[in-house]
Amino acid sequence: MAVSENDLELLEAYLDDALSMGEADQLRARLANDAELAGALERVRAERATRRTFFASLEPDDSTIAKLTAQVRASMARRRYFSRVLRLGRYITAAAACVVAGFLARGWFDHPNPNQTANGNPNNTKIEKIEIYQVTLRDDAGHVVGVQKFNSLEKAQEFAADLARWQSHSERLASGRFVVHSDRF
Amino acid sequence: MAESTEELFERAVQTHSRRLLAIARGIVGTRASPEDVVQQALMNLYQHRDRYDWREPGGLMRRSVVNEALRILRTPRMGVVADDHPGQQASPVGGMIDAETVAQVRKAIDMLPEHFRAALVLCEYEQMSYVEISEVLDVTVAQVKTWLHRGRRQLAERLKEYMENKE
Repeated sequence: MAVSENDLELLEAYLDDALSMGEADQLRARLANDAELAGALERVRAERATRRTFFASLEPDDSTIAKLTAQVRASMARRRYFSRVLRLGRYITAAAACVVAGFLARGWFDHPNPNQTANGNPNNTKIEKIEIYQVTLRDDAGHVVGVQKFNSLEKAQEFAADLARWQSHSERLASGRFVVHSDRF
Repeated sequence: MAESTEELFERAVQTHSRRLLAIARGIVGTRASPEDVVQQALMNLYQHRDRYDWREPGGLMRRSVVNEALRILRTPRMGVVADDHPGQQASPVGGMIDAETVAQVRKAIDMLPEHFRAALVLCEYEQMSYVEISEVLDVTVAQVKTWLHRGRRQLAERLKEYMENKE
């Protein structure tokens, strides 16, 4: 009579050391009295030995390990680099956001005429209107990390657009699987 | 002075790479690059390295490699890598290995469903208990037992002729 699937599973669990003490004792008692079951155990053992040969072949040699760890180290270094770039990029995003509105801060400045008298002479005073556009760089927490001033809205907007492009490029490099040929971009 | 997370991570990579690569080889076989699987799994861990305890990272790294291997196998766009690993490279037990047996078992194991293969590698190569395997594969212990039993029976069936001729 063929050994049942349940018994085969039991034998496998026995060899896996997954039976309780009681179950293992019970099985050993059956094996002592059942030649067919004992034969099945030997077959299961032989199958396992064959697989062990295969599993032993999976172990890589030292040079493969050295190559792998070197690759991992290189990836770690790349990750650190891009992490720094990305952090900077975040500042720039915040800056771009500030530009849009923030700025249209205009200032009126008086430029006193050097010839103006002490008591003041409205006829000799030249008043000039100057518009200042300021780009504020903020980090994720909203802290100001830098300020750049421009004398025209176009220049401020151009600066913000450049920053946005640069940041987008940096993020792609950091998140994608790009090969970096140069760190100047 | 206490080691930094970076240092602990590097040491863990150094210590566990051999077994991690063997696990990846056992699971992905010739259907993906095991080196890529291990590297990606390690980088996933590195990215969130501050979340983990690196004093005993073996289980964490093993789980990450198994999950990455299974993820890669489930990804449809999969190329076949050269069949020159494993078993055809020099290994620490190279002289003892029966190349024909390895090739036959490799072929039979490659035909198993990936979760059967993962359970088998963890059980017979990593010597993990059913409970540990169930945790790594995120299934019940009963499921692990079933996968192991079915996987072993399928392997035995496929290798039957070879085993008989060998004897």
